[in-house]
Amino acid sequence: MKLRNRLFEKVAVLALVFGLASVTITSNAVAGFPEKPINIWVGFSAGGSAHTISTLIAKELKKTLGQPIVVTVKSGGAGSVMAAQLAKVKPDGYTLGVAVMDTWAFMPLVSKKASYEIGDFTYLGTLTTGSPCFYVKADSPWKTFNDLIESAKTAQEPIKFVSLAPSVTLQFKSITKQAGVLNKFSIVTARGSSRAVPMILGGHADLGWGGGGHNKYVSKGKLRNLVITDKSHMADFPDLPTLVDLGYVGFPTGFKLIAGPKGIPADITKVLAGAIEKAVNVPDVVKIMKNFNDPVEYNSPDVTKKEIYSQTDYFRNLLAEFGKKKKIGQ
Amino acid sequence: METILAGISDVITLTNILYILLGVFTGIVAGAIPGLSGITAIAIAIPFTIYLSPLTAVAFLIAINKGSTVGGAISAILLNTPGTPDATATTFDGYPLAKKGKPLKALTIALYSSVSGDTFSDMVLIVASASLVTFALKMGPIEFTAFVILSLTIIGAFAEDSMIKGLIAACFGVFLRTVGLDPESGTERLTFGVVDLMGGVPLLAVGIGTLALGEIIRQIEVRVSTAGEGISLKVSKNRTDGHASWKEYKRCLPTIFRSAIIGTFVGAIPGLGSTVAAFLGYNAAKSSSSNPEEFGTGKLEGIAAAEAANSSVVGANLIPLLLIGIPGNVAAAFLIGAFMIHGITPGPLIFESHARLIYGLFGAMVIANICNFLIGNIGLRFFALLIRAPSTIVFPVIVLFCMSGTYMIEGGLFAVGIMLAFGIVGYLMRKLRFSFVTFIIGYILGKEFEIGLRQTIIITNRNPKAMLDHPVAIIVFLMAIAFVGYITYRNLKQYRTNSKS
Repeated sequence: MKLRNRLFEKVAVLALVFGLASVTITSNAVAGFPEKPINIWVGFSAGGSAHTISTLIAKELKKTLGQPIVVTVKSGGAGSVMAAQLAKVKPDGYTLGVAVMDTWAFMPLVSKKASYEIGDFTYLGTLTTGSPCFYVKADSPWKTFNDLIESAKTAQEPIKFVSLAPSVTLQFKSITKQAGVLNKFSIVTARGSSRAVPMILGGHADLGWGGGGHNKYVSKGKLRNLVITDKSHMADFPDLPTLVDLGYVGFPTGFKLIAGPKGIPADITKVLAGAIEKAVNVPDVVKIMKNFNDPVEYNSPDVTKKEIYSQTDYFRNLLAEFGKKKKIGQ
Repeated sequence: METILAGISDVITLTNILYILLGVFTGIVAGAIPGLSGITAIAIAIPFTIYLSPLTAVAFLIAINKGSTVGGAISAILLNTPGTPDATATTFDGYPLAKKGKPLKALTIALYSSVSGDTFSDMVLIVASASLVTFALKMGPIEFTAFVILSLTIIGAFAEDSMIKGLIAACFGVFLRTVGLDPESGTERLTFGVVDLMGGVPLLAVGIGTLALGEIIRQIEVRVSTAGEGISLKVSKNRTDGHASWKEYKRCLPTIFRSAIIGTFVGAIPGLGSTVAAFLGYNAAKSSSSNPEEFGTGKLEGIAAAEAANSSVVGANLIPLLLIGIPGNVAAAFLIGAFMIHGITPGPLIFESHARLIYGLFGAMVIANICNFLIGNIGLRFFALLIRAPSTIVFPVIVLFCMSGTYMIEGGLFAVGIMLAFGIVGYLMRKLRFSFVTFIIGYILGKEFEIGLRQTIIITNRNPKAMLDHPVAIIVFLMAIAFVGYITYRNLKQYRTNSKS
């Protein structure tokens, strides 16, 4: 790790020379932790929502902790590339990682050789939650989720569903199985809502699922939400039912969260968790994340840990039911 | 109309113009340094734009993007090392002309063509984009897959000496892109248990290694074996060789115009990007020229064709970005992130919800083109000084930038190792005359191609008859087949005449 840090310093100096970036060392360092810059690794590519929340809280953490926060992108494998490396660093609180619930609760289950497990981390808190829904084009004959299920029962051609990730596909299968229409759908996968929404708007597929990015189109009357796949109702669409309201089980949310390697001392965890809670609730941060349709929702380390363990149990059951060996996407 | 004027007047403030100037300058510098590229500059700049106004922020980032297309030509022409894949076609005639002692002539024609192509494509964007929404949405996975196949075929076919070798290289690129997690099932493919490979072989590491480092290794070999010929260029003292004249520019205009149309079209299709455009433009110029054998020897039209085409992608790329929210390339993906930070979701609704901002942005693009021209004109003379630096200094500096650039973008020493390995791959491909360019393009398009193809199979429900609902896709597929037929016929004819004589 030392080598990597040292190289990063060199790169930073280089960037400084070119006037492209600056890493400022603040003078008001507090006694004890932290004594040196803290690294935040982001499990998703630059410019996206995970990277944005990391950059934003880095700015705020620097104010609270008095040390520079270095945000580095380590994207790939739904955050698992980052998590695998994070599991191996020294648990001193100087290296943290931001990724989604799936990264910790789902990826270790499907990846045979994933070199990390859910227990290898110290969970420091949730940062944001999406507003996930099933949606259709506004001129679709299906007004409600029940319309969709009724029409699926008699459908001759398969209904085309756009999934965004293997975990979504798996959960979709569970829901359609509960409704008794599992084999009435064909499932395509798109990379992110930005790709899925045009497929629905252009009529290339019939049903979509989005974590929140699609809601702008709903407000403008181009798409229609059928049902929320989260526990709580949405402020913007108060009448929209949740899957739980309709009597279904499952489909937990896609929280973004921050964690470190297992074994970070309790007092350091406390300092970090406090600073993180303060950082995500800064009005500017809240406003920008609302723009991203990924609203801030902070939860304490204990709640986060409980949530992540319950999600992994849920996924383990789904995998047992639908089989790891069968191709999930088909 | 009122919105348009309001939007344009929004952009004409001192702050905006200063940021655009700064952006263009940063872009040119970053584009000129192999291993850095406009993408690096945009990635570094994004966090700094969070607290700017949305218009200033996006104008700044687009100015960087525009500057980098001009900058990319500088190292391509002077050092024969394209900093980014899209400047590769520029090396074909740019470097030979520089070697003839006319590097400044090559650089100025590149600048003029670049700015002309860019302006053309901006005009198309400004005039047509609002009416293109419906058309853009009709481009589904099936049509996209067809376009990828057509462009891989065309580029493979024009690769150096043999179409078969070109297609092999392209397939190798596509194959290499399958490493990592399966996009649908999430299972690992070809990772051999290496965690760093779960996200795939890092894109920029492969690009920088194959294109920049591979060329450096080849040049070192040339220097060692010819006792120091390398990149030491002699500059002609003749004044007319120091710039491109109005007459020469006029001679290139038909080429520029053709390339600009090609580039704009390619830019409007998400995923193909400026590298594809540059090659299509270059090959179109070559095959419609009356003396195609002069291409590759330092022909001005060759430089103009490549530069006009790759720059005209920048404006047109905003068509899919703004209208359907799909980024046309990596730089555009960063721009989407920048839009989102400011609460603007690119997509079919953007002209309804953010019309004023979009027209302001168009105004900024025009201003950026003017800045590009001005700064470019001064910058070229400054960069031409580079060729005086001995290669014992230039090479190590470039290698350092390749390494640090890869580390910064991909975030890790693993990527640097991959970059070094692909430097060797790039060198071997040059020696064995496998087109490293088709390889890179296959690699860049590989992931979208795989997803598009799998989506196509599922959407058509494995029933070929469903294709009949997609006439555009059928036409494009037929074009690809016809193209292979034509090239095979041409090569056979050439083979026969050769064996007769």
